[in-house]
Amino acid sequence: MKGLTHFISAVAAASCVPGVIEHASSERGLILVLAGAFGLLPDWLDFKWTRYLERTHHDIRPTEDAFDADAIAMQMAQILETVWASGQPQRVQLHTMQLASDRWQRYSLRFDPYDHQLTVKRGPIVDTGQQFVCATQSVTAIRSLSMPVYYGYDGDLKVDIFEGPTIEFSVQRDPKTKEKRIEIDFLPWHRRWTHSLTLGIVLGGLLALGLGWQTGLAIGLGWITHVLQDQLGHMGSNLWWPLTTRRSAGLKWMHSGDALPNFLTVWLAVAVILLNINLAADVPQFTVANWLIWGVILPSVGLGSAYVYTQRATAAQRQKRKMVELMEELVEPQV
Amino acid sequence: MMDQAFLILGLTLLGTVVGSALALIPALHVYNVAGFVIAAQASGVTFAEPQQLHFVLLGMVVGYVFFSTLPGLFLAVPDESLAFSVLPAQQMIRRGEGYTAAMLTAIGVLGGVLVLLLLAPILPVIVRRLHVLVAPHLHWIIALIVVYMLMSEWPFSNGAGSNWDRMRKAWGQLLAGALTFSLSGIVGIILMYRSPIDLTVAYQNLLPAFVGFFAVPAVIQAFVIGGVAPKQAVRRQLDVTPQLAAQGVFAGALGGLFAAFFPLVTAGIGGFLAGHATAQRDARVFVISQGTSRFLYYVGAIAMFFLPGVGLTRGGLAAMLATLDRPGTWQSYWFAIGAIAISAAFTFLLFERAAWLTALLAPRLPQRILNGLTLVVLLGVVFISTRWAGLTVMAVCTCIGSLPLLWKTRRMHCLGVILIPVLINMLGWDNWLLQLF
Repeated sequence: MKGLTHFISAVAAASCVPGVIEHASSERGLILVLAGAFGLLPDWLDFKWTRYLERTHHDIRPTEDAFDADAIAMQMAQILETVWASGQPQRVQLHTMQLASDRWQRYSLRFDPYDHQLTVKRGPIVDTGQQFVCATQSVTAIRSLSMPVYYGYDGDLKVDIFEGPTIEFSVQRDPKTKEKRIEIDFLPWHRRWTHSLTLGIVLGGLLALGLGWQTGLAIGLGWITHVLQDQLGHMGSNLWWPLTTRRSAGLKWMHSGDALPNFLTVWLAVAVILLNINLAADVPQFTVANWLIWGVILPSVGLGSAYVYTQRATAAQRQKRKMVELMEELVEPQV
Repeated sequence: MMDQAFLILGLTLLGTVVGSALALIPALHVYNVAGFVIAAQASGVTFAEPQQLHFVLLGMVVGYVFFSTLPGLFLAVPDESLAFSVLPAQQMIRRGEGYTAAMLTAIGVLGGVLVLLLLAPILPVIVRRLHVLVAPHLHWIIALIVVYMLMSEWPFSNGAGSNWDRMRKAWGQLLAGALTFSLSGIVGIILMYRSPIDLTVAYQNLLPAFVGFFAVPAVIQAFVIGGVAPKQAVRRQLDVTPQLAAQGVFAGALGGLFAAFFPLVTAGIGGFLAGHATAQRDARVFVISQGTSRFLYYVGAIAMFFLPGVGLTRGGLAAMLATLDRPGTWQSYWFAIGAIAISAAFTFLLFERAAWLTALLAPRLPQRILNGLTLVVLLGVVFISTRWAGLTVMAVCTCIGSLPLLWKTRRMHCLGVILIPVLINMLGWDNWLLQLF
């Protein structure tokens, strides 16, 4: 989920703690602000600290004058071979290609676990909003992989703006067949210890001891709300760190950047905050029934329908895109 | 009744034409002019009856919202609300799509008019109830916005260098943002509690700060770079679907209404929050949403001022108008809504031609000379309004306002100038602060 969604959802969750709203209005308390900050803190820690503290073993740094898809594919395949042979996990930083202040050359990697293939492809030039600016000559390289790989996300791994993604290759056993395979983790530094329910509970408990139960509960709820919301997506989180060491798979109901689910969540969070303010007011300004109809049911049905509609359209587009990509691969593969 | 309606219409359109013309003078804000008019009226120079003056100024604001886009886009002299949207729009100008950017903004403004008209019948009920509910909670809501502004800043980097290099660059940017916010806040505290600006012009107290934070650094930057806009294409068909336009208007409406309703929240902040809430990415949607957001912030706030039984004074103009007279009748409310709609439709027609002409002239404009002249206008406005004290404040704020440009952090952090002192006041922490002075 987006930052604002986490932030406001944490405030909404904290506003449900008995007495917090009253404390905020009568004593000018800032518990809700603390809850919001802690609701954003897991991502804040990851993106502003953890990402810089994790060491990467390899850098993929394409040059803009001669994008060599084959060299990238070969380097990646060699890294996979090394991981497979040594059993040691390796982290790879995929660097972006900035062409101008607002122009980036997109390229993508696709790991195909069924055909044991790695495809590297040059994409279009995009702006900083990741919007298409112009097409470039298609350059594609395909490498066969000699080992089974597991890639838990859908689609291509796109590298375009700002700092590129990091991926980690590690040898793991398939939970069902118990056979060895290389698992590919996207952003290995993200959603590890910071996205732990255990940490949320412990942090809330400690702060409850120091600052009172309302503050502790509000902050703990803020943190936990963040972790649970992220679990609706694809990447998942390391839910019980330090008891567990790996991320649990997400429910894959949505992507974290999807506009409508994010907006619906923000809307509902604001509705919950308003309801709690209304319930705590000396003279309530609306009934719960009115709140349910106008604040929850109608917007949820409207936005939910819009989301389902766009998802269906996206599925059709995805199919079409897949076909186009297949055709491109047939026409201009380098390898 | 009809005579009155025609008189109001005439006054509004007069204000619209004047506001549109004044908005073309780079860096001149409609509130500065309104401040002079209201100060003159208060000192006995009668331009019109207070109720009539309301509509002249209303028309001026509508004209300003449309036309200030043009110097903001083509000469890079943004006011606070434009500072947020100018970057994506300027990228369009660099691609020769300045006319499109201007018209997308205008579409956003028209969308804002539509939203205001649709909401007008229910606005009194909603605003009154929300106002009663939210008033005791404003302090933590504003604190939430401040915390989110600071925590949500994203470090920009292209990934070059070692981990340490990247971390240093990222934190340089983040700390520059926090420093900008803090220094702006200190300026705001001084202006609020021990302002060096003369009390007789207290209504212009923040003018030098805002000019220093937002306009002067942008003008100096444009002067130093000295670039000339490339040839601008004038396309009769804008590359935007009704769905994209609706998305932009929807996001902008959320931001603009939020900014119009909550004190201290400007169109820039409202647009920023709405952009995050709706996960915008498309530059066209963004530009449209900023048009809507600016309109609803400036004009929606005045519409709320006309609401009978609520009388919200949000935004600089409403605060100034309240010193003259408070409307407070249903008739004046509906007159205001009608005047806004007609004024906006009239301005849109003028604006299209003006945008076309500006796009045509943009590559031939002597940018450096114009930026130099703009700087002179800015210095002149600040000096005439607030004398040497104002110029000093402006100079200090220019230094602070240059930090975001140098470190690529958010210019919005300069709004610490109003957010910090008022938040301290709302939280009741001003007693210990006063002891420091």
